[in-house]
Amino acid sequence: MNDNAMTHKSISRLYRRLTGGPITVLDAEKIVAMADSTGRAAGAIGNDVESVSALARSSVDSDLVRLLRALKPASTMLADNIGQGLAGEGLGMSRRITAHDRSRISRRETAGRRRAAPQRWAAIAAALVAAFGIWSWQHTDAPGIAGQSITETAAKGDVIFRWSTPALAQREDAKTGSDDRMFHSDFAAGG
Amino acid sequence: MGALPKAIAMTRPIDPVQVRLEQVLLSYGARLQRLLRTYGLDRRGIDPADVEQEVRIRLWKAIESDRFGAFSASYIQRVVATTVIDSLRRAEVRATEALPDEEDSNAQPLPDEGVGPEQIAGDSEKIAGLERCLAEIPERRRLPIELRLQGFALQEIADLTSTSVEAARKLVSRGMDELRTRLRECGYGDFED
Repeated sequence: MNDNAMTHKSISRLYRRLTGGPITVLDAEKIVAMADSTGRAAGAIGNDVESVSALARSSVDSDLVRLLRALKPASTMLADNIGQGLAGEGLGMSRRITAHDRSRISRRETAGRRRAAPQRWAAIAAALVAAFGIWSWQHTDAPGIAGQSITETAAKGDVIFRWSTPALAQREDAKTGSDDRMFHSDFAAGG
Repeated sequence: MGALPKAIAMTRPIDPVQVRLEQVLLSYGARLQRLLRTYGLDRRGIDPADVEQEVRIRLWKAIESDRFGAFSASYIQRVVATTVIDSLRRAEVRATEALPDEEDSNAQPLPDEGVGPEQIAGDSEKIAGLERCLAEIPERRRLPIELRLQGFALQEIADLTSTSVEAARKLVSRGMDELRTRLRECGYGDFED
């Protein structure tokens, strides 16, 4: 190999090509942690040799970490601005946040009232339907069976069928013994 | 309104706080775009303008979702990291989808303009040689070298490896000397850092 013919003599450039895979190997949390590590306080990262090695073997991860380090002051400033309620100079912190919160709460309340209107009508309609249901149930009960449950009423044999099946009627009579005598053709007893 | 989500912009009355917030976010976004280009991430299939806009939308949504209490620099950094990683992964998927027919699947990425086949072959050989030479250096000494080759400053290397800047400087200096010597001995000639 002719050394003089080599155009790319930069080890860094070759190494970045060697490690230039397109996919990040570390997750966002680790990348942010590495970008945040400053001074000797970076012990936690320094102890994670595996992650640091992975970082060193990935040019895209390295670029992202370096970008985040450079962006850190701007991120801090942005966080401060948001935290301070983004108000103008000369206003007190509490007053700024209160004013902002008030406008935010007001917006939310307006939106809440707007959303609540149809829900209110739906609730009224549901209450009316329920009231009608209760009323109709109470007024469709047959006279003389007040206090009986619906299941009891339904379980009772139909009188019409009792005439058509005397054997069944006798069995039922033996069971209950409380049928209306008027509808029994008990001629033998002279009734 | 810049790249503020149109839906938000159209439904909100003009509010000095929001105007100020937009300005701050726009300024932050501009800085992010510059850094994406500075660190070459725009050459990885992502559009800095798209990334910047997505970051601002995510931050705006977070602000709208009552996250004032949790709004720290670390949170913002996480939003940026997540957005960039998502964009890189989408770019990777697009690149995979755009692969040509099977017969071309072994094709190398297009080289820089003006780079001939001989140089590409020579570079591949040098890259393989560099990998071999690095592998011969013990891990403890290799890591600072690799970080340096990735472009980290001495302070950053010190932070990442929990050493002092002076120790990092010595490790990098000696390590680079060792690596250059190995490369020379292997017949790859003299290299710059």
